[in-house]
Amino acid sequence: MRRVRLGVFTAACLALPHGAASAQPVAPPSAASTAPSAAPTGVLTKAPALQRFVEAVRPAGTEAIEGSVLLNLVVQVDGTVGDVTVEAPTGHGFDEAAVAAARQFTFSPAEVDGAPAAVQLSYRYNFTVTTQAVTVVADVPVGALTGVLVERGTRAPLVGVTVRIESPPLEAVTDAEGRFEFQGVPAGQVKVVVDEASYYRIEDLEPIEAGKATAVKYYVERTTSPLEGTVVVGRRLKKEVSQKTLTLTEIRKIPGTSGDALKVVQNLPSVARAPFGGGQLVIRGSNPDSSGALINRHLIPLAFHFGGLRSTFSSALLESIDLYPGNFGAEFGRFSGGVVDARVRRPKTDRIHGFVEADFFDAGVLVEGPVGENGAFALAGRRSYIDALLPLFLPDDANLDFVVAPRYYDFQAIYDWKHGPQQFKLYLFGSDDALTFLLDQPASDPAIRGSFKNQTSFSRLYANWVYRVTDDVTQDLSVSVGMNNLFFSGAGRFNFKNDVWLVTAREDIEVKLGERLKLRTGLDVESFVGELDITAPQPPKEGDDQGAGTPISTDKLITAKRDFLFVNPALWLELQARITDDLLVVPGARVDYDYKLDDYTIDPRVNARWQVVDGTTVKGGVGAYMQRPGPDESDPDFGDPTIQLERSVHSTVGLEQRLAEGLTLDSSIFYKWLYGQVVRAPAEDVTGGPLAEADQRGIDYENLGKGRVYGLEVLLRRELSDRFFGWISYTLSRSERKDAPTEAWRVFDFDQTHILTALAQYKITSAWEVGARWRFVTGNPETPYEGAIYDANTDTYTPLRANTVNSSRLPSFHQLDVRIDRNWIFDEWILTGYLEVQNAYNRANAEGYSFNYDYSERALISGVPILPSFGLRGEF
Amino acid sequence: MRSHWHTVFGLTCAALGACGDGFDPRSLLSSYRVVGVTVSANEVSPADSLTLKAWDFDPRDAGLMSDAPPPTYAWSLCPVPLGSAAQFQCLTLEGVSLEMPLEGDAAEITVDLGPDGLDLVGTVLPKVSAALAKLQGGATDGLPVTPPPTLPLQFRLRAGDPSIGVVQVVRTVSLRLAPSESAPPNKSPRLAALTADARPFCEASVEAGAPECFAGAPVGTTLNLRVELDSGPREVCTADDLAQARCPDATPPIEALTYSWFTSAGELEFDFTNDETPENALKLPARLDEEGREAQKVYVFAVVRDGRGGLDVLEASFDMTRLP
Repeated sequence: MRRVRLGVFTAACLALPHGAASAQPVAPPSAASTAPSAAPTGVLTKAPALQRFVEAVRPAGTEAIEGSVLLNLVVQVDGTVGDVTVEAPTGHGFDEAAVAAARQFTFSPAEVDGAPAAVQLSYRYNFTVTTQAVTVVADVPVGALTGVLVERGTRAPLVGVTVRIESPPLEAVTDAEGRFEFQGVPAGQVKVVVDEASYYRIEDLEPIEAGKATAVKYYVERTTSPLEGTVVVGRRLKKEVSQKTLTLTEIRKIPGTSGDALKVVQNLPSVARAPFGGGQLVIRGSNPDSSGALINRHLIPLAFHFGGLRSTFSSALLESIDLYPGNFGAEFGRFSGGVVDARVRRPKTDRIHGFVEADFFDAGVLVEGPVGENGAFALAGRRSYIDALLPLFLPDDANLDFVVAPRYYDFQAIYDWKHGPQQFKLYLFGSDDALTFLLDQPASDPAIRGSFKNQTSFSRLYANWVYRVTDDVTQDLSVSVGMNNLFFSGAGRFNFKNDVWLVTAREDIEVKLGERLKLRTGLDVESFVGELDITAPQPPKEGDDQGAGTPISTDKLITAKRDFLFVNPALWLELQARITDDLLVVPGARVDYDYKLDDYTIDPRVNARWQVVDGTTVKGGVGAYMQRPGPDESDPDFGDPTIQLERSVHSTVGLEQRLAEGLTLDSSIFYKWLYGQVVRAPAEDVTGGPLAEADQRGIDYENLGKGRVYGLEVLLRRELSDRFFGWISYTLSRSERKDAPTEAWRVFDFDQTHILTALAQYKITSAWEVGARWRFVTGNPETPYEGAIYDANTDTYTPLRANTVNSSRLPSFHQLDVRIDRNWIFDEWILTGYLEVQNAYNRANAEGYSFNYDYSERALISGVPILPSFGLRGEF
Repeated sequence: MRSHWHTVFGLTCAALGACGDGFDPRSLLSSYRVVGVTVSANEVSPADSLTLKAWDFDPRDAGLMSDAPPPTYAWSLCPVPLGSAAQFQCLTLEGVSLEMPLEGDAAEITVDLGPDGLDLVGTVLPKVSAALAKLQGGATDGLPVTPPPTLPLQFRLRAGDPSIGVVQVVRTVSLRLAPSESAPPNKSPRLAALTADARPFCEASVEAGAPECFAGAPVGTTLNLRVELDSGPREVCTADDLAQARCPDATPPIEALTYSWFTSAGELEFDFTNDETPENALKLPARLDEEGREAQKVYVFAVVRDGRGGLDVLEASFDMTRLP
């Protein structure tokens, strides 16, 4: 609605009420419910926009008084305003006047998970006093001034912003499209003023011609970065006890991550640091393979490109990332560690948007925009150029010739359509990593020479149909079809080729059973069919020598060439019961079946959250979880098909405390019990020879392993404000394993006693931002060598490990990363450049040891030295 | 896949040699070392005799650690080796290791496998059968399990002395229990000569002291080393070799030979192996280890392997002299 106040006034002074920040809620809209029973469970996918503003009627006698009332509005599903409460009164009768006016506002409906939903938001209604001295001049020629206010750089329309003409004193408020209009403006030059909170003031002289309309367009620049806040992300209804949600507005500029959203997960409590900063997800003391990366709740085989440099899905297309380090709900399964679920956002629909970016490692591009009335699309791609740069930095005597230096690319194509109660999504995305090199001379093992080639790729076609059948029933069907391709060959001796077609499907149904009860249930199926062609050494297991140990020349080679099929269906059910307004209990269960092993599990789980007082929530949960053994472990040729599913029990209790506005403390104590873990059967020949021939099952495995993981996790988090955000995360934990009932407990390969991350980001101006991250992590365990045995047949040395596995540790890791961002804001696009310095004080962090030929001497292998990098991004 | 990438990353790091070490090259002999163990046959029958010889470098011979005691040699045999991943342990059956010590305390020993010696058939193989039965969950009706057609016999050597270095070495040969026409026994490649700058070493030459043989070179010299193979065609790999990736998957699958080189002084161009090229270049150091000496004895070893268990070693020495 356009609101114009004009005219030639006879009064010397006039008091005008208006909402000075009327369309800019003082806090992001929250998907919190108007009542517990109406709690939305998803993400706010469309914020409400003010469409009809109603001026408050000033109480008599307040014409010279200013005031500001902070209101809490409930915007109902149809955009009308329901409950209005005063959060911060100002008196003088302004509170009642503001409430009465706000009740008549109209908003565009908000959407949660793509469907219209009721939300609540804060709204500040300002009563200001404007002194207007206007002289009535008869027969003065007049014209008109029309215009539009958009945010500089993003071109987002500014809604509900007051535009003033100083002389004569006129005011107009922009409508939902940022338009404003003045009629009857005296001809000549007029001074136009826009003075809006969070934006730089605009003063401009505009010529007005009699009988004509002057059209203007103002690009108004934010005082803080315009890129922040462009993605509005609500909070899910919290029903998990350990879930951590990151939004893109927080994480794009965290130092040390090069803007990669998934890498930021590694800064949260419960996530151990991977060696060399790689992409392994080691969550709450579980194996990397025991945790999964999901896109919209569907598994992807590879979260990161080569060496963990970059995630395989564009961060720019993500809406949020949920980390579930344990005690996740029944909808997730097949992992005894944690789950990282990245949610893809709906592409923007107001106009065509896009960016081009490039940094030290790769370059990417994205284009998105509307398709028709209800559709939206996005196309994105990224390609590395390490293959072009790395050879330039290799020393001449590197004994290495890259045919294909590390190279990766990924792509995403998204179509999103929604209309009324239905939403349809179609994604096509994939990733490809390749590396080929020639090694002229072996480093220590004659087998490690010649040509080595590795290629890892996957592609997915993902379809999702969400239908809100009634206000109480929603169904969500999603299917992902694609291929995983893994190829490795080395020295003409080793070969691994694994081509897998897979289908994962989920059908989730949500039924509101009452004001306080909601039922969620679903079917979760994954199936794999593929071909395997392998001649390669057995991959090392947890507790084995992962590094420089057993020479490949002396290792047993496993050989197989055949097809395989895995089908793993699961059924899950969850009840969200809000016992009282403050107590939410979520019992659930999940039944998993493994066709290959002909084994099943029934895993009951329960989580609860109790808001003791406002700002204080106690939470807890306990549940059973399963994990499928590795494919090699259950293989009929080189594993043991008689083994069973691995089991675990997760338990967590915690406290969430709001310490101040925007400052929260989230702490948890957890204990995880692992049992039935697959380990090698004792006293078995694992290297070939007569026993392997005699024992046609290959390596014998048994479900004899046990594990226990316990610790404390703390996250002190300052949420994003205009200028600052950051957090301190700390994990104190111990993860232990027992490979046989008679053995003593030993620490897990990635056990890290202390994991501390402190990071902060500060916006100095709209152009400059700085950030820093400091980490301290206990060194990983390692097993010392005590000499070596020389195999005269193969000319290799095999180190002799100490009897106690993981009996010593690498030195502790600590590192400072800093980052400076600079924005150049133009009228219709924004250029962002950054300089990031990893390991700013050049700490020689130990990532492992290198050894001489017979393992009698060793030296620390240092990680990345001080590494400056820079990047540019142009966004429109 | 993640762990796979980890392996590749580690491999790349190792290959680059950029991971920080500064160790002496493997080819430099500075303490007691066994560079190879040759056998009289790579495949034996239960009644055969087998000769094993450890080719070792004794630093005292090169004038290093001259006050140290001589190395000792302790040989043993394991009929059921558990392999490298199990750190070459020998199977223990009912608390007793199957590893058995062998007679002989020299670098070269001869082992009689027949009834007058180790008595493989009468004594050792029953233990192997019992071990197999145990590992398979127990033989039915108390009958021993029939051993497979071939068994690995792993000979072990512990040699040296704490003052000059102690090494543990394993050398495996095949014990064939049933004849096979499809898989003839592998023969070791044979080295005929080792030359420096195209001249035979005087010590190794039949005509030692002849003017055309190589007796020595001053410090700082670069020598072109080369070994000559005994004539004869390369052997054809067996199907088992291919399955175990011990041979290149070529047609026909001819064994590929690799060469290892060692020196007690100087720097070899190829530190480890030089593929199928039997040549290397040795750059002698700029000065002798001890000032005041006129010459220093330098030892060179060349080892050839066929990747299937066959190997041969040649050793030579010469005097490295001061610059005139």
